[in-house]
Amino acid sequence: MAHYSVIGRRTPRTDAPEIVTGEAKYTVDIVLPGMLRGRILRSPLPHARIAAIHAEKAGAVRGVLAVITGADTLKQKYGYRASNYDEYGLAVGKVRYVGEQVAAVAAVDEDAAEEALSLIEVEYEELPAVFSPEEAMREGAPVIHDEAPNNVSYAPRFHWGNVEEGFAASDCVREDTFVTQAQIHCSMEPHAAVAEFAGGRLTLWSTTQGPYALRKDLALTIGLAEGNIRVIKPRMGGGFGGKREMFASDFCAALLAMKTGRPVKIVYSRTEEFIASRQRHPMVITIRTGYAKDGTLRAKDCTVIADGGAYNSRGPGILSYAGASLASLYRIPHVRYAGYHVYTNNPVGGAFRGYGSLQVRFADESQMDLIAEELGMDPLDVRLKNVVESGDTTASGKKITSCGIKECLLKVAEESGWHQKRRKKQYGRGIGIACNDYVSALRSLYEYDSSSALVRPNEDGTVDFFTGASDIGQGSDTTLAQIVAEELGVLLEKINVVAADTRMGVMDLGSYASRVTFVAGNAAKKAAADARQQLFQHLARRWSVPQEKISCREGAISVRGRDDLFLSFAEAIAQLLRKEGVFVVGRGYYDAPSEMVDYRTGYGNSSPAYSYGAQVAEVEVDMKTGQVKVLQVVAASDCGRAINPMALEGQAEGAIVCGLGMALAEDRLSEGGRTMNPTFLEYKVPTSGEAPVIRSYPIETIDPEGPFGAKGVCEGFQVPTAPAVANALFDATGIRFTELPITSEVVWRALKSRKGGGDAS
Amino acid sequence: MHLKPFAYHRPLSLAGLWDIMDKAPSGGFILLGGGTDVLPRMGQRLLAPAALIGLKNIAELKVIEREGDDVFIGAASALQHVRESELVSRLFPALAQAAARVGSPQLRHMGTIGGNLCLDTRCLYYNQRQGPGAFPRCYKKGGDRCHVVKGGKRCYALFSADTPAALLALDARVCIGGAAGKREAPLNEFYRDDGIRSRDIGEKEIVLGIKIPGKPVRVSAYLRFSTRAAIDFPLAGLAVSVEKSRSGAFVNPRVAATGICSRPLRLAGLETLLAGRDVRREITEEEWGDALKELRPVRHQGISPAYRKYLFGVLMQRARARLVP
Repeated sequence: MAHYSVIGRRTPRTDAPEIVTGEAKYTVDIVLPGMLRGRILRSPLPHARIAAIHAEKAGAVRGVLAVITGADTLKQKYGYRASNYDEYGLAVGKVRYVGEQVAAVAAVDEDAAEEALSLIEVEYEELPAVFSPEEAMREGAPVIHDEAPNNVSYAPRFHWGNVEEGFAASDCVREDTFVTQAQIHCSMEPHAAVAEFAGGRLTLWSTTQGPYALRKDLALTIGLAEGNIRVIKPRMGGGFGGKREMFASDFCAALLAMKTGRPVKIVYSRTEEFIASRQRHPMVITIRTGYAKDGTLRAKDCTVIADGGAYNSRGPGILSYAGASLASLYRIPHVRYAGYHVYTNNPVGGAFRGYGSLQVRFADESQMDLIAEELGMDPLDVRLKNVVESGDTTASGKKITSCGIKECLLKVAEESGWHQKRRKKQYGRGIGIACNDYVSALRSLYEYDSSSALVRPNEDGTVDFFTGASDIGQGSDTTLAQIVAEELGVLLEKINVVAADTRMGVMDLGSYASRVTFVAGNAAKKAAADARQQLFQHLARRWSVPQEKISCREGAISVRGRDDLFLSFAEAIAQLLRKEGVFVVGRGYYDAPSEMVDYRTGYGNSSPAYSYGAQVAEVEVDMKTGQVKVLQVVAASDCGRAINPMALEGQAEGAIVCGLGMALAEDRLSEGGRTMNPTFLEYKVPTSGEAPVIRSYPIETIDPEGPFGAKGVCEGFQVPTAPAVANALFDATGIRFTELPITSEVVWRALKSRKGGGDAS
Repeated sequence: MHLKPFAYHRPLSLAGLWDIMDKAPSGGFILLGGGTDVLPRMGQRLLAPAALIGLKNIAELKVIEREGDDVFIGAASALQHVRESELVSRLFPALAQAAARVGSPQLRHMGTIGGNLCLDTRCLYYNQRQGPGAFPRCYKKGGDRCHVVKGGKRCYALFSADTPAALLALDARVCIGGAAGKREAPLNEFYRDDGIRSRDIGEKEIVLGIKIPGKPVRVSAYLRFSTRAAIDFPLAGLAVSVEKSRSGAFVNPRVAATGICSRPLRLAGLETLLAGRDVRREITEEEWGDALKELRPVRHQGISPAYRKYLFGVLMQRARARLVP
């Protein structure tokens, strides 16, 4: 790797100093002349017909400029695919969960806006509500959307191979059921939007993971042409999947700006984040697996019932990916899947790091250990025996190219002292392993999975780099700038990143599906290569040397075999611009060479590459109180190539801690559809005090298609954490926990009921 | 967090404070220690005072000093200050340990011992901001019911401050003052098992501080259980103290709990169990089960009463071990 000068190095984020000194400006910091503050009125009821809304008193409050309700909108639904559109920017006719947006106001300040909200009178006719998907699917349950009389809005059925044959050929078959909970994203930065409307054109600054996708939702629901909407993503403080779509903040800010002619800012409160954004789908997962006595997997039959909450959001895609993830990590010839996305009157389920595969992998990786236990095998060996290999095509049509899953498993086993610790049993201490695969982009919703970029060197040697990709806090601006700097042969600090603004004309689908480094990275690399090529072409002509002999490294251009020819990158660009009128602009476009997944069969090579990971968790259980302390997590990830090892570690640490929260503590407590713990005090997201020692290792398989061999890694890191902890708890206590979160009270009850007495020690 | 407008007073002396309090309309002000609990409540629109009166600039409320055999801790002393006080650590380890477990380092630097003593009770139904009509108004919100104990005749909000449990176990006395003068009362008489008014203090009185007897010398400890290492209120907190003696027995033991009802509570059953008993002798589950028979915690923070009760038993077992010389 010595021949690279920028990538592969532990590089602090280029924007880190601004962020840690507080200099960085976020959406909430935007102030425009004459700007109004917007606030949203939300439903106090889980299911009700809106009989009437009286907004006159609110509109009369001094300082209030506009009040809008569903009646003021186009009443155009939006959502995932057109066939799944089910949600309004502002409720029309009905509310379906506590927290749904019913009306919005714009006023000169927060106080006036708040007073106005309190004066909006909504006449509700309360309807019977349902909060569990199983109940919602029953005959006679309240119907939440007329379009789905049984409350099932999406039910993928995949069948690859023939599971009956597979089970017949199995020595053993076992069936287990697992349950996962709602998890809230808890981004440090809440959803926020600032809208400005002038000359028939709308500009929206928004906390969005995909400005282009948001523009699409806005155009559809407010009736402006896409070209008349400019969406800008300012610096962001986290997304994790929770900022993928249009939110009421975007819609209402836009509409209120159009109505008042003044800029409008809306910032969600932490309560709104908890009750009215999105959450990870709670799932009930039943897996039946057939296997041979030697541990070889033969067939898998899985049913997933997901609590979708009141609307589809990305639910259909999540239910599809949940099913797809059954057949892509292990070699299994026969897989069948039935998913149910069920409407309830709970908050809306949406995309969240892991995208449905996380829940299924918790179930599947727990069951892998159950199988190992039954066969008397080492959980590591059962996995090593079954994982996919480079060159495989899975039953679901995934073509496995670079693949380092075995190396990941062996690495975490070695670094954690797996074998020694397994031998040396200590009651109350345990060690567990789990692994995962993940896409590096996902072609499922659009016919394209693309990104574009422009690279424009300036006469001082700096380089403006335009990308559509959204840095949502993960640091992709730095990673992409590293790719450009490396490809162009300049220093990292010369790159000015201009990103995520639809007016720039460099489109990108957004930050999701771990696609940014792979897809936007390839586009950036191509744009940089194109700029370099243009520059070298001119120099080759001027110097009469073959172009391929010219190279540029760290801003210095040289020609192989000609020590007399030497020029700095800055000088070269300056000469071309000033004297020759040559404007070097590198264009890059990349569309992942993947296949559109057939959403009826789930078959298709949906990603251009697959990344892999494995983790070992070590836990210590207080055998009296049931409290679990995670001592250490060792992680390895097949990232293809670590463009920035430091960023990779950061991603590992954040994701693992988020995974631990899901494993042990985080839960949305609810009563009658109301979120009972919408605060950081009562919603137990881990603090630094709960974070264990985390050691993460990159496994570099140098993917043939990835930029410099890199693959996507951000989401996958969270996937194996919860099952690794559950497996470690089994090792520690002999108790198999099948439901998340495994709180101290849950552990205490299990210890107690096993003892049949009070004292669990 | 956007707050409604309010006036802010920062008296520099007690005389100044009495003056401001005297002029303030009834119910129109809230006393502010560090503000770590009051301000979030204002943000949630649970409190909307016309004025806040900050106590942190009154020097005499910030002292930690000996008064004969006793130690006086001024109400405006930061919890971090209490925790780091050499005097407190040496004489009253339970208090130092309790102060060390409050909130987080940031909160301990802001929060005061007086604020912790006067911390309002909490419950999941009350302590959140929701749209109008989300839950029918409970007693604490001026309504006619308790959501925690359905059919309950009073508010069952939970008292969960750490330091009061330690102070109860240390036989502390609370010093209360107002324009009319000062009075002192055993801390145990300061609290009431009522989620709405858990402290016995007049509207125009303030807690000046706390007085802890240095004699007889007591050995003490505070333990708590919480989901997270920081931020959280305890699901169970327990302080125990015993007079130092050569016999190795529990002499005049005091056991006090927080996170159990609407006030910090002396656990008489456990005190009776311990009295005269060898400190080295372990407490069995049967024993503490018997001693806590009368205890009826209610469901709070998503934790079942049975688990909460069990936690107190475990904390008692572990606290005993901490007292062994």
